[in-house]
Amino acid sequence: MNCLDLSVNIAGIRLKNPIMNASGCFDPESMCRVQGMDLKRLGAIVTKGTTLEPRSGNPQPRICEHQGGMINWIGLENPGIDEVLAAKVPFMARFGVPVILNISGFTVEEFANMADQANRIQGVDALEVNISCPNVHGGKIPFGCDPEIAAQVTAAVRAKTRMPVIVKLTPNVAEDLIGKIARAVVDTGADAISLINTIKVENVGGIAVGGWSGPPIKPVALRLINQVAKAVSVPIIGMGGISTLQDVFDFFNVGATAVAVGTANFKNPLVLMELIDQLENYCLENGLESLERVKEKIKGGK
Amino acid sequence: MEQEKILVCQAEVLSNEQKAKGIWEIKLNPDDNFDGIVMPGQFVCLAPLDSKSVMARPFSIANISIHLNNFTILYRVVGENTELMTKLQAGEKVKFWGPLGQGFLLNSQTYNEVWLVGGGIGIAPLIYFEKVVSELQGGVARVFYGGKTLEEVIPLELHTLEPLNLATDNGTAGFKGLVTDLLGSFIKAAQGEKILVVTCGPNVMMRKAAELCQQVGIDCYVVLEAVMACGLNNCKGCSIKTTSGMKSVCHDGPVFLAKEVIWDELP
Repeated sequence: MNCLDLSVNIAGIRLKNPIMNASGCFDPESMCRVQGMDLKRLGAIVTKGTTLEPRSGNPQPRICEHQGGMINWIGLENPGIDEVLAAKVPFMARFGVPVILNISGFTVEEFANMADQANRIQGVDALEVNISCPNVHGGKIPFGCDPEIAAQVTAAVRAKTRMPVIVKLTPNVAEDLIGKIARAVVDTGADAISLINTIKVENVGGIAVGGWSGPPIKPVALRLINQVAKAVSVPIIGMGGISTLQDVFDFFNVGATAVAVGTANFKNPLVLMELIDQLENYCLENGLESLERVKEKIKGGK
Repeated sequence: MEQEKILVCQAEVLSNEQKAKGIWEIKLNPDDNFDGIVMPGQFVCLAPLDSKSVMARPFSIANISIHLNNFTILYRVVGENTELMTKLQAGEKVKFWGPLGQGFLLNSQTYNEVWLVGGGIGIAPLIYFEKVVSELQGGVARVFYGGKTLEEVIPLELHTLEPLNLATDNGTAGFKGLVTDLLGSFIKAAQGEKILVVTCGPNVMMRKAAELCQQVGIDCYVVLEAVMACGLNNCKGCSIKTTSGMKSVCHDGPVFLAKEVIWDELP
């Protein structure tokens, strides 16, 4: 048991363990000041959703609790890709952990433009392509709701970068569509898939249209990941309501290669560290030396 | 200050008492020590006591003793989590993190007096302000405190020699009317003096206080309240529009220069 190896390979990048933050739920610059937080231990660091132009986001109220979860309507507040690449990414890159840049476009061209810019600098190791944004040239229906449009975005990004491309899927699609969307993005160049983004809700807590996250959405995430895992063979980064090691195992059991933790960071700033500790301890206690062995052991429960 | 560590640990409840109708004070003794000084205006987050909650609960630091390593929070019972807080007994533990946000370090040489204007539970951070100002060489603090009724007003132990200026909506204690009316009359009488106003309370009250100050060129800072998810700038849920761009209440605030706040953008 000298060499515990929890590493996973996502689209050619090596993560020292399968646990990372979800986009938009983790500010490395303030979290590195939290006692007990060691960003070097993360599997990867994922940036907040980045857009071509700076965005102010939405007016208040932006967040509320709802039925054991959280609704948000932030509106992708971010300083824009120039500033993110100039200042945020270099800060994240100094922890020696893969940096995944989340890009959120409103046109296919914006996605391509951001992929091109990210491809030209050091520090970004992979792209996460957020196709849950409204497509301004497509009646504001999110790119990720239609296999053809999702494929157009993926192909446009693929054409501009040699970096691994992770396409992040929205759960807000028709029942039979998630597998088709997954296949469409893999066929056009996605190296990996992440899901689920938040679940769309309307008129909750003074928020007209928001995204629901946290423990209540976990069963939906598991169902959709299971379908995607059956449809494609690329690695899947699973997310949606993870807060315990058992949650992580549940995501592995439906086919996730790695996991991301979002909302759980809010009520426990050290949850990522605790999950990594717990996973390591689980391996030590059970004499498992790799993540493959963990996944074999937990298969079918227990 | 940016580099100081943010403590995350358990804290033992030393006391937890009701101070007025719907308002409680809890004193906590962290298992670890704060890293450096804690400034007036800074706050802590408590992990929610209700297991179904997913967002942290932010509270102003109402008092702190670095020497004894304990601090107090003043809280108003507004929902399930604060209701559960009232049940906490001495000896029990809660999880918290802090200090959070940018505090406020003032130079007493610049001002003759610091006026602290609190409305309702907004008095909480001003209690610590008052102590710090009164302990400064030559610092004069004057406290204005408004509540709905006498029974919703908490007793204050002031360090300043200046009398408390109390106002209640129904006149059951102090001046009958708004605390900002009281502030207005003091501002009129004090033309020419170098005064700093720090205010915390409902937005409508802070806005009024800020307007009164702006009319006569008095510097005014506000301590904003916001619903937060974590207090650590992770989600941008508490961002507000200011004259100098978007600012997170949890990270850039909660203390803001009043003239930077765009009140129409706030709830």
